Amino acid sequence: MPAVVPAVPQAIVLFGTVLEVCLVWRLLRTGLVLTYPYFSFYLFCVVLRTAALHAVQWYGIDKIPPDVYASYYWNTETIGVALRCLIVWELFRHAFPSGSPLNKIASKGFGVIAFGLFIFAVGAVGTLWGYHSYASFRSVHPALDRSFGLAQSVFILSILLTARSYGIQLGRNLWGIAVGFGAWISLSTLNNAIIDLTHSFYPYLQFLRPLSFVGLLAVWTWALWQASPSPYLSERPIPVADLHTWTENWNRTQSSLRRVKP
Amino acid sequence: MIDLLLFILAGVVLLIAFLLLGLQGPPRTDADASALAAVGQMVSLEGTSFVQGDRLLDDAEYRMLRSNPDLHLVAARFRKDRRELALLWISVLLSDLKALWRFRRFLIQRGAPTRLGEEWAILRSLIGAVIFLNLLRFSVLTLGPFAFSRMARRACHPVDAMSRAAANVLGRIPSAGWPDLERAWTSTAG
Repeated sequence: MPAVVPAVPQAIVLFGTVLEVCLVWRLLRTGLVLTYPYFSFYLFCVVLRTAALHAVQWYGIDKIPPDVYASYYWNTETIGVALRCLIVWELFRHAFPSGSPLNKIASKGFGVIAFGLFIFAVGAVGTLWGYHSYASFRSVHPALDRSFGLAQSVFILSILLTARSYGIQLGRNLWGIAVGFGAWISLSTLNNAIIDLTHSFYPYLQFLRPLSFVGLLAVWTWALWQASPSPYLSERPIPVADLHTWTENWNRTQSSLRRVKP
Repeated sequence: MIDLLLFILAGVVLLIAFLLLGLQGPPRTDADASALAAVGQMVSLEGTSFVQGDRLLDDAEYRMLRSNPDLHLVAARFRKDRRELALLWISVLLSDLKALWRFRRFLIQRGAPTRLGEEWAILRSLIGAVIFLNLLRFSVLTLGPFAFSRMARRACHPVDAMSRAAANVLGRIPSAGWPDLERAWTSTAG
């Protein structure tokens, strides 16, 4: 991503690359690659893409036809938009692990939300397709990015707020992934919408995305520096004494209700 | 145009929401309830177990007595008694704090894992708590028990925080080893 923005200082590009390598190293070192396989897959795809862009620059960007380079760049960006759903899924499956009582409640509600957001995103892209500035393929990416980005960030925020309201401990790893990613997508949505609305701020806003991506990588590196996974709800044992007390109270309530019922 | 403006608005709202969540920091991992109960069982905390200790510093009854001129002497006696009780309570809270600090060190000495950053944070909070409780004691001693009643109601908080910190460390040791720890702690404390 930073490689195609020639005005971005090389220091930022280098810093981003270093952070990507560092993140991969920490994932492998701490074994979190197995704990968060979907997130890791997304990250490896990002690293491969960055490596490919660096390789092109090293080979000589002038030797490659501009349309081939542009096509590769925007196609991989669009695939990246779809791959971001893996992170959302990773967050959901850790926040509400299968087998936990909350999973049964949350999966239905979130299923409806996900479907609604998907329809919204597709609808938003479809509406903008006929808009005067979406004649070329290149222009479609911002529309895709902001529509699906908005849907994804709303979904992540819903997961975080639900987890908070039920007092679920996400752990530093998931919390960092979620908050960093959510902030980055929101900023990306905002950035894309402003660029499409007016080109006046383009010279400044073109830096915002690579800079914010470096910020995201920094947050992820901090969050994943050491393993701090969320305690699984399904694995938390319920003390037998508590279970007996609860059953007793529940039976008493039921019998009281039967007595009160006319 | 309106679509894009709506996207900008939504982007701003979401960005602010995520930034606010980010500023709050990751939710703190609360100590396991069983570990917290075990700490309460192993370390006898007299100050925190004193029910409604903060009511000692409540001036409502004192003001009621003072409002009647015939009961001024009773009010003065009441204030003096409350002052002595409050001083005693703060001393007991300080003892609890020290006992919990010693218990936490004992757990680490027995092999509970910890980190330097965590130790530093605990040390800072301990120093802060000791200073706070001593200042409170000084204010009760010089200005009376009702001078900073609102602030004084939080006197239990440092002990609760230290109790949770000890429970966090205890939670890192398998619960099967807790009875042995309790025995060793009792013999050390005795």
